[in-house]
Amino acid sequence: MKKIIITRVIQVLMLVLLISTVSFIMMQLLPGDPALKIAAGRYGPDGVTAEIAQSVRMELGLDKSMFQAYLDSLYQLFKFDLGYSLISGEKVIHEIQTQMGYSLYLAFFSFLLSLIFAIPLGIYSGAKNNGIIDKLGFFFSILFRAIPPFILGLLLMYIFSIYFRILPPAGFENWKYLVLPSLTLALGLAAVSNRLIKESMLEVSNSSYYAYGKYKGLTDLTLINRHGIRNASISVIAYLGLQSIYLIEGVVIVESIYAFPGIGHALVHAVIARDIPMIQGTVLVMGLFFILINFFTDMITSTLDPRLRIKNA
Amino acid sequence: MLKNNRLKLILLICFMVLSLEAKDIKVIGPWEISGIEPTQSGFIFSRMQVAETLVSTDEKGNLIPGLAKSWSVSKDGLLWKFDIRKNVAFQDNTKLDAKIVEYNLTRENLLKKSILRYLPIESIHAVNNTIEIKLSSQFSALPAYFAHYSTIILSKNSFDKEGKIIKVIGTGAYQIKSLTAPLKIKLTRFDKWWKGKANIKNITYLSVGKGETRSLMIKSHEADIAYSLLPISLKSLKKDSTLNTTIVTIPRAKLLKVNLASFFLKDINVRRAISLALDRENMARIILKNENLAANQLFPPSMKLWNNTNIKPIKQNITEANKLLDKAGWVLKSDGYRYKDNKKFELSLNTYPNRPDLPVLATAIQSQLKEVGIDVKVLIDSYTEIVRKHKDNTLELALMSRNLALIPNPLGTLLQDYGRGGADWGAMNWTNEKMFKYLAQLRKKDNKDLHNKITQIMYEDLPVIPVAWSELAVVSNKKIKNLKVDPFELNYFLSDIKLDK
Repeated sequence: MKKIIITRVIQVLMLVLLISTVSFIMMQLLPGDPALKIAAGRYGPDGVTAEIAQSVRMELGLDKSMFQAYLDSLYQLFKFDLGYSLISGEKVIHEIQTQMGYSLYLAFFSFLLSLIFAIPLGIYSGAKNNGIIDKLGFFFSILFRAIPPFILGLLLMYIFSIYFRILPPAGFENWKYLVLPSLTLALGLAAVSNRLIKESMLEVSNSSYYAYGKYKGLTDLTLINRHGIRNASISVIAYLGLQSIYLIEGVVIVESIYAFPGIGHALVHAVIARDIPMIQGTVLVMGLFFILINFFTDMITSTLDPRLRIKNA
Repeated sequence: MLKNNRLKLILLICFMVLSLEAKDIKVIGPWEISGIEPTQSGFIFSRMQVAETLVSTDEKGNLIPGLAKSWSVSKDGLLWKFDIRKNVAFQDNTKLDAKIVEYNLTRENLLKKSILRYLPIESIHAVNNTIEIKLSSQFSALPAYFAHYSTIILSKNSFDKEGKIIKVIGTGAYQIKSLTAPLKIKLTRFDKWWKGKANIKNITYLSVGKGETRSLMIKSHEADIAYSLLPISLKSLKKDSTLNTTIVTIPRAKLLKVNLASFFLKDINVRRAISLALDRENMARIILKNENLAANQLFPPSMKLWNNTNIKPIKQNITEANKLLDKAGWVLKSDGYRYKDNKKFELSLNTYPNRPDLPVLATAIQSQLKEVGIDVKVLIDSYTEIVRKHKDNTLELALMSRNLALIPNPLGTLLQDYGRGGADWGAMNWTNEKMFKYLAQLRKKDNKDLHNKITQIMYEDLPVIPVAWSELAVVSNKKIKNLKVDPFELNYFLSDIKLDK
């Protein structure tokens, strides 16, 4: 455990340095005039002119050398100050706090919903390989993984908001507004994870210890409970940790379709408008979350598999 | 059968539970709130009637008194006086006076980064309860500039010690309950509004970037008023008996910006040939779903003061276009393209996807110009590329959407875009002394004859080639009554709407 924590702390420090450096370099490498992009982000197509861009350049000191600008951004970071958004003028940390809250709700419910679909389906398909449920699960998994989230989102809106009129199509007021975006993400997540759970279950059910349990005369349910779920969970949990990448990627698209004010939506806008402090802050917070998720994944897998505890000790 | 009934019952219960909560009136549109600084996001505070300007407009775009009850100009045209309305309260219960107006109008951000930077302002001072604006040269359109959203007047408590805006406290019919930038703003009625109480108590504005989502939101009654619907969605929305659709032509045109210094485009015969090669009617009918949007000039017929009725619709005429290109010395060769001095007639056309119809129109133009032997390469990029290429003079052709009435008087945009030296969103390397003379005359005094002369020059000289006009489609729930649509998009007139119970 101690080893895991030390490793993660070192990772966090390295990540902070790496993310701020990489995002800074990437922003510098993008083609086009940053002052023009920032002016466009502020004043829109009808208001942006070369003259306004010049005034933005002067205001933000964008004519500084790249090295000086990088040192300044590092200095800000080491003061634990993420700075101000170049577009809205608000503190980056305040913007992230608001947006992150919405995105975390969305990510959490999507993840939960995906597990509600994937776990029973995966276990049942694994236990009854090639059965009708397994085949249907396979078909729908391919379907939901293949449909791009923006199409799936529109389909769900049409079904639940237009046809049945039971859920709002977009916006954010209360829990009802979370259902469709979460479902859009969850179906994509569950499409892969239920197959993985099935394969893990199948692998476990083909193992010698599982066969031995059967010969002992254990019922299917007891076998799954005692020997199936725990053994199959190890690889599944490791994969679910990795799925957080899909979640972050999916959140960007889903938030735009459902007019959800999350961090993904904010990041896309920040990149377009070259809002460097906002990009650095957002990517940093996302990176930290990714490390946190991996940390919990490691903890859970080492709790489930005593061999890993010994290896890490 | 039993299972089916059970499902129906569950759905019905869900529907009843979800319908229990009372809803605010929800307005949706594509525009995001990029901050609270009026030079950036003032449009949303002005449209939603949170804050007001000295001069206002009615639904036809005519100037009417706003926070200034009247205005006048000295005989030499250099001193403007705006009488500030008395007994107007801000939403924090402080009173409006000339001092606070002066404070708002002399902010550095406003004078240097808003549309006011184009005015020859020497000073702005509060004298008694009047705002005096001294100009260095005559400027007849000045009052219209004080209807622009960037000039909204906010309470002193809206600013911090350094003069940075920290809250938006205006004098309008609605005050801000909460603001979740960049997407949502919740408003509640301001009962002490100087014009009286608005009819609706709570209103929410939600920015919904995707046109398809806006259509589904209004169709499902999740939203009550939806702005800027895509032409493709309107067909089905119009069929919905629970919805009202209002479409107005707005002072915005889709134009081909032309670099007149380009080897290919400097000859007027070539620009006329390009104009004649365009099948505007079919582009408007098929892409914009309204053939009346085919533009023969800058201003649509709805802008009666500026639309020149002497200019006839421009029909596609390939034969005439070919003749003009021949006259300009461009020879058609066997590969189907034209050449001059061993140089192929190939142009790059920049456009951008922020307005979804532009890339589609650009590809249609590409195919139509191919018919007369011009090879067009369409570049879809950020709109900032047009500004950049204008500046370094590398732009050849650009398809852009330009708001012709950034203020309720198009003269402001004309001076900016087609005055001497041109502009990023206007003429490029164009000189026409007559045009400059007429514009200078209009600065001093407005005159309809000069409007016609100016539009005629633009029609003949083609510093930009008009392609299509634009319209604003607003769809509302039938229970919303008395909804007015402002073609200048300065005000949504939400205080006037009523609910049909």
